[in-house]
Amino acid sequence: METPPGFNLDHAVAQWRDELARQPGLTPADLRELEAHLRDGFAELRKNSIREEEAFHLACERLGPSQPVAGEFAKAKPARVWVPRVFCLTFLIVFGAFAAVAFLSTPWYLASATVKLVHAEITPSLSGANPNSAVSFTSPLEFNSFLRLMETRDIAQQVASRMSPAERQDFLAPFARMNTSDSSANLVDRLLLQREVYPGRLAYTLGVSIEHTNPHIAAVVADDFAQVFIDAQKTNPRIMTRAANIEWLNHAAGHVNMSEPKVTLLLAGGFVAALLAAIVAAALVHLLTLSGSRRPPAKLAS
Amino acid sequence: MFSRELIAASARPLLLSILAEGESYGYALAQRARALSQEQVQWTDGMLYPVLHRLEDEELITSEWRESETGRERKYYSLTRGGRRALQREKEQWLAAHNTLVQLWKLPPVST
Repeated sequence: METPPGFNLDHAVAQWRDELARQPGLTPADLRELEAHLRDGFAELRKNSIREEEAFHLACERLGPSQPVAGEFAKAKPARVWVPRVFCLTFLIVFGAFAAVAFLSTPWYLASATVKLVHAEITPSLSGANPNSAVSFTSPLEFNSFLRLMETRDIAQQVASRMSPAERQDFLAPFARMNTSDSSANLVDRLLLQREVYPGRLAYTLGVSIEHTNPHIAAVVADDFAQVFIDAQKTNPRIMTRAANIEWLNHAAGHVNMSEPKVTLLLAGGFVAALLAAIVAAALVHLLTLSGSRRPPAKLAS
Repeated sequence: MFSRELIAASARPLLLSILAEGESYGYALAQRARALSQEQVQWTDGMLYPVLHRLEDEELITSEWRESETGRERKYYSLTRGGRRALQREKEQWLAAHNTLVQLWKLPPVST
């Protein structure tokens, strides 16, 4: 072989192709076409008995430097370069904004207190009354009436009156930008907004949860709700007839956990929103560049 | 020596005209253009392809990958009917520009 050691055409072409592939805006088909051109040029120069290495460099030179050549390709099909760029950028910006809100904003905590409504080790079925129960439910409707009782504004008002001035201030602090001209009415409304009442899933328990940036105040308020509810039950004649059993009407409180769902929700929502925004932005760019691609080339020469 | 602007402007009628002679591929097109201009046009061969792709987008030419006699694959371009019409328009415009100038230069005009 006359090939001098150290030069391998396929290797040189592969290297040249790799460098070109790093430029944006070139498709595999473009690379294939340019490679065919390079090999044609090389073959022709070799016919004139130019050394392999020299012929390769000359052929490359004729084809032009990769950056401006790729630039011209990109100009001819601007969508190829800009659509993926705009897609990624829009996605990152929108998702980043959601992620920033999710992670940088004050974390919210969820404190819940539960009230045990039934004095029984084993949860009674709704259909049959349990003899050990202080309160027996004959229907889900009846159980729901306890739920509604817990939800009343009356209870929220009593909770507000039990709170110390410091507690009130702490509780309202994150909502400071709201109108505080009538702080007591405001406090009750806020208490109603921040609490959620839910029935226990497995037993006849009532849960009340308070969402707040301060886990301590959330726990205190949740506890207050449970306690006010129990106190209200003590004036209920139906409960009073079984006063002996009153001690069961108890509550378990102070269970605080960070409301993770909010972060997850923001991230999941952000992902979907970012994806949609990116698709819309990319489609717009595609449409805009489509009309632009008909313009004549700016330059052709080196 | 052609200016950059002139090379860019003339690329379109030049490629359409070469393809009017029959189908061809990138390397041959560049060689033909180089020979025709008697080396006056300093082509950068790679810049030719974006122009070809644009003409293809405008449906003035079509392309097809085929194996050449050398065994390597090549992308062959050929003129469409729309391309022939576009070439006719280009020809009229370039000759009109040419005839405008030659009157001033006291040279004979060229007829279509």
